[in-house]
Amino acid sequence: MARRPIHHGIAALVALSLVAVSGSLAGAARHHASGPPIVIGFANPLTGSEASYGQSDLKAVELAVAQVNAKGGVLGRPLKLLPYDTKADPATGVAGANYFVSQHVTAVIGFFNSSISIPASAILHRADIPLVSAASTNPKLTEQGFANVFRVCGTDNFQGTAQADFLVKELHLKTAVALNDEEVYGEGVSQYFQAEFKKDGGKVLMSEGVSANQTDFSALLTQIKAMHPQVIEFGGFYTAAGLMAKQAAALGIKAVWMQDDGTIGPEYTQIGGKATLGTYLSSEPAPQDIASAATFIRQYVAKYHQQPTEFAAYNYDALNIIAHAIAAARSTGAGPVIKALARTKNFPGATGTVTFGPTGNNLTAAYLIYAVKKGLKTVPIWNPITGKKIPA
Amino acid sequence: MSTTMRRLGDRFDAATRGPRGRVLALALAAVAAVVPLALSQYDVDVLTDVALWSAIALGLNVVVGFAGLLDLGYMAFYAFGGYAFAILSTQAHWSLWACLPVGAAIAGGFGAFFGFPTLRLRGDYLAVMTLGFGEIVYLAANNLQITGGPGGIFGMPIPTLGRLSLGQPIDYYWMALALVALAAWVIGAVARTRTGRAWAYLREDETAAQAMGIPVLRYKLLAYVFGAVWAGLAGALFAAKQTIITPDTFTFTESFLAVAVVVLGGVGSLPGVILGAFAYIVIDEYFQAFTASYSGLIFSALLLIFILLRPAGLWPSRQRAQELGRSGLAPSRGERPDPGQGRGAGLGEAGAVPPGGGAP
Amino acid sequence: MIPQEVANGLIIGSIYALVALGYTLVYGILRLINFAQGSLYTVGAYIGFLLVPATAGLAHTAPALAVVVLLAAAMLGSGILAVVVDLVAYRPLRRAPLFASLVSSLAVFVLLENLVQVVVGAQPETFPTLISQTPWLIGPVAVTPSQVVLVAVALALMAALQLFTQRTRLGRAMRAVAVNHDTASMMGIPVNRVISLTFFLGGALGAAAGLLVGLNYGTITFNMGELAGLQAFTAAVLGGIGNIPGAVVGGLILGLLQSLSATVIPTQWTDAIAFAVLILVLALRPRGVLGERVAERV
Repeated sequence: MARRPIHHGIAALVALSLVAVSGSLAGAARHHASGPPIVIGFANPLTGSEASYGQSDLKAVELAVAQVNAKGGVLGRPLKLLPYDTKADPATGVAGANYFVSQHVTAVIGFFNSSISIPASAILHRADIPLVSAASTNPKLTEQGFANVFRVCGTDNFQGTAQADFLVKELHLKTAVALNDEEVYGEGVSQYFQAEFKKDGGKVLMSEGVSANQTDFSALLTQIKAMHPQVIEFGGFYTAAGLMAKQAAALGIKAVWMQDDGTIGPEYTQIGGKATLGTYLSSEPAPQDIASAATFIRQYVAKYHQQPTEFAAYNYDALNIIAHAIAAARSTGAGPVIKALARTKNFPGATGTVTFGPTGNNLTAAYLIYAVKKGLKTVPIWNPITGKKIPA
Repeated sequence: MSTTMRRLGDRFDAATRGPRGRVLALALAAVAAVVPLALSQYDVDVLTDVALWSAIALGLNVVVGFAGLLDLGYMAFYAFGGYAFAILSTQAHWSLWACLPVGAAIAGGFGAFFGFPTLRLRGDYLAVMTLGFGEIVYLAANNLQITGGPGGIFGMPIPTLGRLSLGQPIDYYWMALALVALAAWVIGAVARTRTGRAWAYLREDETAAQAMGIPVLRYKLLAYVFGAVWAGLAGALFAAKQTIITPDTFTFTESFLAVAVVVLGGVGSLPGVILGAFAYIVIDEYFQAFTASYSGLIFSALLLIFILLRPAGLWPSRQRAQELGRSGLAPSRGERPDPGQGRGAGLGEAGAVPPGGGAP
Repeated sequence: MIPQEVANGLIIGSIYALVALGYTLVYGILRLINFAQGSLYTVGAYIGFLLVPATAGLAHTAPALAVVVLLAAAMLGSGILAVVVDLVAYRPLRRAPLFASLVSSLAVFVLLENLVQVVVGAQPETFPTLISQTPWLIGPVAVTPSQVVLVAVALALMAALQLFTQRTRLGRAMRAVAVNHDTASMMGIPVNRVISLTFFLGGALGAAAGLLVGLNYGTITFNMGELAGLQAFTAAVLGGIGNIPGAVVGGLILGLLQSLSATVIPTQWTDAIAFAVLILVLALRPRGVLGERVAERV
């Protein structure tokens, strides 16, 4: 009986030293990401009219990858990014999805435009590759029932609703004309806006599509002017939005503009000029307006010497969420990673806490209403969830 | 150098005539079918694009090369074939095999419809009118609900043959290759018939051809229709391969590139235009960068250089080489008279300066 | 609403007219469709855009003068480019079949457009506001000083061209060459030089249009010449190609058609109108509104 404690003691000592040795060895290995890289696909419009978003998103993801690798990578392996330029064209984007499949990537971040993410997600679903979208806000993306699809950003049904609620409940405006650029995203936002606007008691005087490449909207705007709407809502991106705002002002149209998160950023005010003063925009909070994004912004600016654009922080979070899920799954296999992604709860991201719901949506995503104020600065002014103004 | 090329060309023509030529063609087809099995998926995909563009080039060659009609809206027919398959397969669950003839028929039908108003126009006005039609088709595809607007249509089903699923890159490649082989065979055969000769006559001198009793208008229309169906077939295959179709594939720039491929390859020459398609795809793949796509720049520059120095193209048909002259700088048979007077040969102009034809 | 649409139509129409004049001048003298005209329009806008920083100081003190400087630079630049295009791409093919000239013309158009894209990039670029864009309200119509300047400059240029061709010796020489090269040459007119001058004028007018569009709309892209070029060509054909007043008439009619059509069809289809007009004119009345069947064109 007396011998056992000594044996136990020696055994314990041996065990402890073994643990200590192996622990330090493992620790040493953790600081050197080595082995075959884990490839993450990244698809965004890197050229063309939305390139300013795409290029910034790419930088944000590259920053995240560098940081992850500096800490030893994931499962001891370095992360490798495989970027792909969608050129904002659905066919090119779909080819990109096929490319990722052929390259057997572990996960994909993309595809920015809802019109591209939706078809691409079908391709990735067939190949069982997880997709995390950071900017595609059309609800259809997660309504397809694909288990491999997740998103960090919000969905347009909330965006359109927020727009309508703000205009009716806060500004007490009753009549609106709804325009859209006929692409999946813009059309979707406008539809949700119109539905909520009518529900709130407002009246939609006209709903029409424009071509995204149009430069002269004077004919349409002249028609609109004759209707005397209090609001003109537009679903689409900054080039068309800016040109329309400018031409509307030239025609003496006094209506208030309601834009969406495709116009947030400096390009809108640059293209539209003075005419954009007084425009309202709905958007996910820009990184500069989120407390938890301060560190991210600092690191981004330090590395790239420029401010990140609207969706950069969401892409940054997407990468980190994927890395976290792979680590949690302890595998790069599609099944385990997708399951781990689905279990993402209260993940501390730069954009706030991220929790994926049953369809892959981010349950904690939110929209704010912004306004273009003096000096052509876009500032948040209203929170749709609380219904309260945001102090300056 | 060009004399050596010509002699080589002549030797090649002599060698490939008759039964020896047929065996050679079959051998080439067999090689083309088998070699890609050893290549990567990406390379097979690129070769499929080559095959599809070869079909386009062969079809356009009928209109531009044989009949001498400069069609600047040819991609509209590619669009008809593609959208026919997209709409029928997603809305009515038709198979690819059922959609192929439909696509071809629609393309051919519109070939006649677009061709008809151009029949009496002089070459440049004909070109502009076809451009107008091409743009209208693009705008329609971009604005209509049924074509899905700018986002297009996606989610087309994978083609199946019985219980066999044909979704691998190599399957699409073989289908495209079969189309090219069929096109080359049929078009080559037609070129040697009376129709082909009629096209040659009306191309060289429309007025003279008419005087000889050739129903010029009818043959022009036939060229449009016959040329369009190949683009329609290729379009359906293209949509099947991509599983998504958007209007941006069918812009004026694409129609211009198709013309460039035909001219660079060798207008009127079947192996030439296939070579042109190959060159285009290769250049397009290798000159991509994140900042700009240089392929448009390179291709238009090449086209300009070629039309000035070697208008017959890379692999010319001997007949067209004679017509266009060895170099665009040398006077050739199709001499252009001074403006202000009646027009002579070239692209079948007729009568006075106004773009209409014939007497007032 | 209609008076405003008329005003809008006249504004766009002036732009079409300027670019159409370029097509019509070259066609009148060479019977050639200069597809490159669309890209000369684009190049004019971009020359102006690239010179904006250089005129920044002037823009503060005398914006009108800055506009004049930019306009002159754009017109000069595109004019010279047009002459170069003729020398390189068209003159060698004067005696070649029409097919070769057409292909060459197309190649130049696409080449120049792509060159602009490679040099400047595919993203839209903005002009500073040099002329006020705050509208004057004249009854039911709102026009900005910028739009008024646009129309005024366009009309002035058109008038200047008309004066030039009708009243000056060079203008008469141009008309003579347009009738018949050989006869003009026998009369001692330096035909090739006159042709170069014609290209210069066509390019200059196209550039003026491009710059005015940039100043007025504020935003330009590398492919702006594609659609505008085709629509302006339609205007030239509509008015009667080879006919100078015809180009102006055609431009204004097309502009009005596009604007007024917005009252009956959704605006996304207005671009299709130009092409429909083109097809109809070529099919039913190819000589256009003012075109004549006689040899005398200009």
